Amino acid sequence: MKRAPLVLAILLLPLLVFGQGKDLAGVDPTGQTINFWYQHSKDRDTQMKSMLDDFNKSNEWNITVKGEYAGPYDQIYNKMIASIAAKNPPELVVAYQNQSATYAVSDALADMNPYVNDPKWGLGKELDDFFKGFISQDVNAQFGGKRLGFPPNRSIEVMYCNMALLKSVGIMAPPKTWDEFEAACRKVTNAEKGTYGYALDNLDASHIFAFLVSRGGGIALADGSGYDLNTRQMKATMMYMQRLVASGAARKIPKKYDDQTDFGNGLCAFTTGSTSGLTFYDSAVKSGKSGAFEWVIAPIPQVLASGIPALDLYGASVSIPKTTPQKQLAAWLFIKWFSEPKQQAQWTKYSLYFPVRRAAEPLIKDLLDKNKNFAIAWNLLKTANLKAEPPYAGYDLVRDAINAAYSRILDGADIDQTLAELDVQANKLFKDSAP
Amino acid sequence: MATDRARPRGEAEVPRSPSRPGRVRIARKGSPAGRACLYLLLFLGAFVAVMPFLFMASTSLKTIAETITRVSPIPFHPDFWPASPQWVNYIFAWTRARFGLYFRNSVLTAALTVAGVLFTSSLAAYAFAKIRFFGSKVLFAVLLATLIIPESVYLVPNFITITRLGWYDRLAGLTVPFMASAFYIFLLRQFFAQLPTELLESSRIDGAGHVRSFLSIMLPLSHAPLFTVAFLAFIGSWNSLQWPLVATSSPRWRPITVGLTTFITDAGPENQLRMAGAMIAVLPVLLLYFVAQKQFTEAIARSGIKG
Amino acid sequence: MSTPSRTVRVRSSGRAVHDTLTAYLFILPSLAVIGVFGIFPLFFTLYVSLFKWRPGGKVAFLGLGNYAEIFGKDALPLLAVLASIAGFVLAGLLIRRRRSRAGGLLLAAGLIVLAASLVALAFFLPALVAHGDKEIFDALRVTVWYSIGTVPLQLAAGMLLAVALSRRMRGQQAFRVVYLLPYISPAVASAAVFELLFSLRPDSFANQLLLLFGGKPLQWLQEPKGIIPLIFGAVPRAAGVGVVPSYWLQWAQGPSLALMSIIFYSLWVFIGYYALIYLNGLSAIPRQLYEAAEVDGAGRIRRFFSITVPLLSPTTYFLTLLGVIGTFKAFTHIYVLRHPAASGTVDPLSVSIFFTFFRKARLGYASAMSILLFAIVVGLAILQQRTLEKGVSYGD
Repeated sequence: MKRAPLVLAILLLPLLVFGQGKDLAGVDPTGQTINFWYQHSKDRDTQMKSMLDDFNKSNEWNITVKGEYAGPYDQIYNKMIASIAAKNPPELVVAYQNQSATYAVSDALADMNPYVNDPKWGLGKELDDFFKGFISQDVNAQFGGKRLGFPPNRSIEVMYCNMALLKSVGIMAPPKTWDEFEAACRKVTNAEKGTYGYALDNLDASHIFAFLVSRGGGIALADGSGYDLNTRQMKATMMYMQRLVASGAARKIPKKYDDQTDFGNGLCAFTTGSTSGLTFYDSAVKSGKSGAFEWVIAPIPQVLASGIPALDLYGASVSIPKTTPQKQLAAWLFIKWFSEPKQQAQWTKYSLYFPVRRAAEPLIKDLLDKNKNFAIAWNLLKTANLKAEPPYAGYDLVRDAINAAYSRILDGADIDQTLAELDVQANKLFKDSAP
Repeated sequence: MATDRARPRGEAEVPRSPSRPGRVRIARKGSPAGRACLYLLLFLGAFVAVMPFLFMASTSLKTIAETITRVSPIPFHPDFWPASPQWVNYIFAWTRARFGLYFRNSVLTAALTVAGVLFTSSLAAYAFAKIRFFGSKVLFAVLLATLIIPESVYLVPNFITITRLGWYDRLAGLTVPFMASAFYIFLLRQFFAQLPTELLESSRIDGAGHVRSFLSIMLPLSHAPLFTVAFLAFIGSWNSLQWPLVATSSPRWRPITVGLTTFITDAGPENQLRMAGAMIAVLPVLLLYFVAQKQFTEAIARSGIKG
Repeated sequence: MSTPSRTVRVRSSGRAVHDTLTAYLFILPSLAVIGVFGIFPLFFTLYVSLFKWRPGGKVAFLGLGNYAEIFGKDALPLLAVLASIAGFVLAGLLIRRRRSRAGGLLLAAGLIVLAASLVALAFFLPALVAHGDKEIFDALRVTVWYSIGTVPLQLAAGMLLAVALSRRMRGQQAFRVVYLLPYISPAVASAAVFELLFSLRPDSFANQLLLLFGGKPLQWLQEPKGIIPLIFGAVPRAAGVGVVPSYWLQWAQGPSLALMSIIFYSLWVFIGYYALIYLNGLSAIPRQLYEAAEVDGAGRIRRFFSITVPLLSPTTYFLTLLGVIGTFKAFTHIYVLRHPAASGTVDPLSVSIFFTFFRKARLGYASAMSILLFAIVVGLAILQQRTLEKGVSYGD
């Protein structure tokens, strides 16, 4: 009859108004293949692949996730930029909040809020089980509150301490304050034995962020309109490190991971790094020149000995690039599976990354009992004052600038001038990269 | 006449061949002390040239601990060399570090590029050298002008082009853009132009077209310059880094140059594996070099001929 | 140089058309590839440089906006600097005519223009840098130091080495093979070795060598400080003295130690290659010239400077052209050897463009930078052709 099209249109109208792109009910994720780019290398790559295998075999929609070690974070970033331009991004990718922001500038990412909140496919009540601090990190104000990623795991920046070396000079516990740290570094430095205090990695701005946070500072302006790098905490950090390097109690490393190597060989007392490095430090120590020795992790030194330590919260999230609705949903279903307590516990046991929800804790109890260092770290995660680096688009470039300034200062450059220039440069980068 | 002068002792008659590289004048001997000095300096220079390769070889055979603890700057010192050579490093580099895959990719890319270059350049060079046609001078000048454009200028536009063609992270994106170059056309044209036209005239009288002349007369006579072009194109492809960095992302078609540079960020402190990878990248070229030395040096010298 | 043979004679106009068609058919494959990937890109880059272009595609039309960012929005410093460059060219033209009639006047005029241009450059270049993109001008400075550090030494050492190798001796061929090794090996591999040799660890090769001579370990590839202050101990304070002096003080620091390490690598690679090219040129010098000079009583050094050097000038000209333009195009070994700690002092424009594209993902801006690079290279080529070729003697 003639009125059929009209009736149809009226029936479909609600879909038009409410359902555009937000209604996942009609999307079918069956049989999709998902390419997943991550930064897990070597053993961890193997472990992740075995978990992917589990998912591929057990999931009811026949979704296949293909994992690929795509290099460290920086390289993944470069690759993503290129693949966005080539219009063939992977279906799932690991990204820090500032990296996902940069991808979002090119409108390359799917908003994950609809997935998280979907009545059929979403997390529902389970959302409450996740640590609020982690879950909210990926909601980006620069992009109108879109959720640009989801946390599969987390870690924090800590200090690795060679207790054997420290005890040999009379220091029985990890230093709690910056003053204690400096004293310990100097005491341990011995030209004859070739030992020194702090293996300084000037290639990772996250260390600087951790130092700033420990002094009550940060990097971003409070109102989110840019960076504030010429602060008293930054100056204090720079003066401190400049002094330490000049005295020989700290040494710059030539390239990445050399601090871990020196630590493993028993040459230095301290390094700073992510808790996710626990397994790598373990093997570095075991295969090192001096064989196994006593070492622990501890919070980054603070200004005062008492009080809750302020630490840098790490760990990238995973983001879903815009592809097809089916692939996007399939990618989300994998993330959802990965965030279940059982998988979270399994991944934690493999990688020593932290789970992102409380329900996983009972399942990792044996790990907490066995691995003293991990237990220390887990406790810190739950109790410390955690701060994260800013999720601004283009922050990767600011990190480069911070590293370069840090390096120049360690070589003796004028701190005030360098920091003033850095602040100007960073804010220019902020403007250049903004959406 | 000057030639009637008695020749001073120590001189020998040498046929002059100004245009063939490899033949040099024999100069007079000079004092023994001077010659000893000369030899000493030349040996020192040769040592400087070779030392980094020795370092590459020795480091590639050390254990990871030895690369830090057992070091020496002097190749004559035992610490320069490993306690016992770890040949297994090469197996690791080839398999675990995937240098075997990268090696294969480099070989494939270079072979395809060379084939393309030989095809396009020989045809074009023949046309420019032996056929008088409308617009040849202008066209040739335009092509030559492209030689001055730095590779950086090509990065962005060619990247956009190959992504639109669907050649990103594919073999086509690595080979096709390099299958022709004004440089090789120029080199071959020089050679073809010097071949006497009489060779062609007789076959032309018999009614053979340009294609026949090209295939049955020009090409068979051109082994040396064709080898030069093949060799230079191979080296150019084997060594290229900037474009493959941009044009590939996954390991699938990654050449060994990109593999070597990304290795340092991946493997961290494993210098011995990185040096093994470097050796894998260097050895084919070195082998080619030692086997075909004369052609090599001639090819390089020929490429330096002023235009 | 004209080619000795002729092209095949055209029999008739029909033949001419047929020949033209055949020729274009033969050239077609090359033209297709070079057209798409060699000629079109130049125009496409120009196009892209007019936009804000992100990986996802065009974002906004900027017109000359990217160029304004490179040179700063203030037109005066740019115009002044361009005028001073034009002044140098003019001065060169005037001074060259000093041997002609009214030569004295031309010489005086030339010198005045030269002086004026120098002053203009001294004042306005710092202003240009202050207004524009510092990173790009740092990159240009790096390229200048890199050129100065490599080309003259490569020419001189290459020439001397060629002369040494041209003498009768045993193992001549062996020496030549060995000296060419650095040139033929892939740069990624040999640069990777140099990265280890010049590492800042106290046990690295460079530092061990330094220790042998009584020095202290240096940071080499990670050292952004200039070699002048490192050698002479003084670090001129560049802060708080005003824009103009502080800019030139930066030049006074010389190339950084990191850049010097890269220069060492370049010398290691190219000296053998330059020597080979010179050997080729040497073989074309007739023996009689040397004999005649010797009879006239000229010593070895005199013979070198009056015969060898001038007669090698075509080769020198070619190698200079190759060398200078090469320093603008250099990428691979710098990419391998560069360390972020020294980034502002080791990145030439080619590397800067790469990172602007690859890491900052600013495709439009990178395109504008590459147009600048292209303009500089073309300008240099023309300049070298006009000036240096005048000094070349093509035989007697």
